[in-house]
Amino acid sequence: MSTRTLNFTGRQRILRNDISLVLSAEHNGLRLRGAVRLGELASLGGHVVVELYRQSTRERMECGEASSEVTVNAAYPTLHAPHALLCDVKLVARSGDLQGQILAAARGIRPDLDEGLGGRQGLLPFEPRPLGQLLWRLELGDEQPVVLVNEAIEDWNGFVRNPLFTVTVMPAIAEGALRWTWERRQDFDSEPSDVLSGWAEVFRDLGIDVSARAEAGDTLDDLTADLSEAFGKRHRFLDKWNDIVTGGGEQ
Amino acid sequence: MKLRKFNAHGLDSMRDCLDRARQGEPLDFTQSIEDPDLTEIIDSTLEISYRAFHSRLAAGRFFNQVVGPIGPDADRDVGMWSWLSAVWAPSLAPEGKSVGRDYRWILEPANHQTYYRHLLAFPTLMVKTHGGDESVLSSILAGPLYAPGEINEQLGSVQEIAGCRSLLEAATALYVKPDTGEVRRGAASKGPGSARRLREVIGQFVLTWDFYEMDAVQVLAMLPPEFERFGAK
Repeated sequence: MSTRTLNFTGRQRILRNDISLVLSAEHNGLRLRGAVRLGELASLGGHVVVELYRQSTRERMECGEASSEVTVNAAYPTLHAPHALLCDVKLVARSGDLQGQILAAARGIRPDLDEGLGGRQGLLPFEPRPLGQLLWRLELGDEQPVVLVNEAIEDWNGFVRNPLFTVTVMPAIAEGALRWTWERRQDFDSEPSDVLSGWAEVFRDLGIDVSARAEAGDTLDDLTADLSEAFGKRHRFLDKWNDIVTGGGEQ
Repeated sequence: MKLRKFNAHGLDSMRDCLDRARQGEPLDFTQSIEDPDLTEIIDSTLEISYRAFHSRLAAGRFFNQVVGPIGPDADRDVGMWSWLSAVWAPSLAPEGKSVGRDYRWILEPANHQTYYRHLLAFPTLMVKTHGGDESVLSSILAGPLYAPGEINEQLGSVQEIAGCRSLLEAATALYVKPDTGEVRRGAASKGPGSARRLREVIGQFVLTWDFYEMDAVQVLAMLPPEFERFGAK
């Protein structure tokens, strides 16, 4: 939901550094293991719920009463594809007048994937899809940008790792991700998701502080121009291209 | 016939067919739905045949039973849902009704703006999620199969609403006449208390309240006075 967060209720934030979650595949669905360290937030009471979701599906699991460290070991039987999944972690009041009130929360957390699923999740998931005659398309969803790759491409995984793909397509994907980040710039003041924070960090690393530039009155066009230049320099696209066409590259 | 799915060529053929229908040609998938070059059989033990449904809920219940045995990823199977849409074309675009956009026929499971607009997959997902309960689903699955309507549009577009039983049950209590199953006048408007307003109000509330912890009565009690015209209190 892209509504700006308004917090009039004293809802606390569970810091993402206090959440460690690893997703693994099981015969029937997925399992999330790890811990939510509530520390002093445990004194608020309530119980911890972890919701795992993607565009069309959300599944939630109870993970126990509030304590300084809540162990998470929850099965999610309706979710099977592990990539592009995010978590909301909520501490929810269970009784009294406050029943159902969210006492503390962390939204848009990316769980790590266990070794069997390929390890840590990247910021930019790639998903195979039927795309007709299109090779790829960037989907700027509510939760995160996702690169859809035509599933009919033989070895689509190899296709997206091909240096030709990197030098010709990644600049456009980076611009799309910048637009996605820019459109959520107000969230930096409240509860940025893991993914939003991650992308902001990527752009900051390239010398583009989205939040500061927005406050300074710059436009998305200004940032996009700077991104193109910085991204090209950082990844030496011209050199890579010349390496590829002259056979000196890693292809 | 056996349950099939379109392959990439089948999906291209379907898009062409929909394009031609938009230009005035009759919509006709009969040549493609059993063409071995355009389709593949999903499971040779699963048979399916066209039938008309009196409601989207009935359709959702039927397809949930049909695709259940296929496995948990069936609700994201683009080729299968597109093929099923082709078979059900007489219900999805009856005479005199336009075919609409491709995403109504060809599922886009990764697109949060369109997945809930697929005419068959979304009712099925709702039944799979909520168990086919009329008191929960009569609002979001109101309307004929070919015209999901405004409540589907407003509530289906927000996963936190579409996935939450108590919110959908509250919406049904507000917007659906229990005796006839008809949608109440004004529910699909832009005015006070409408489904559009419910989406906006809930959109703020979900930041503070976990509606999974509540029942529909508690949800209704939280709504502002503008919803009283539909019976909330």
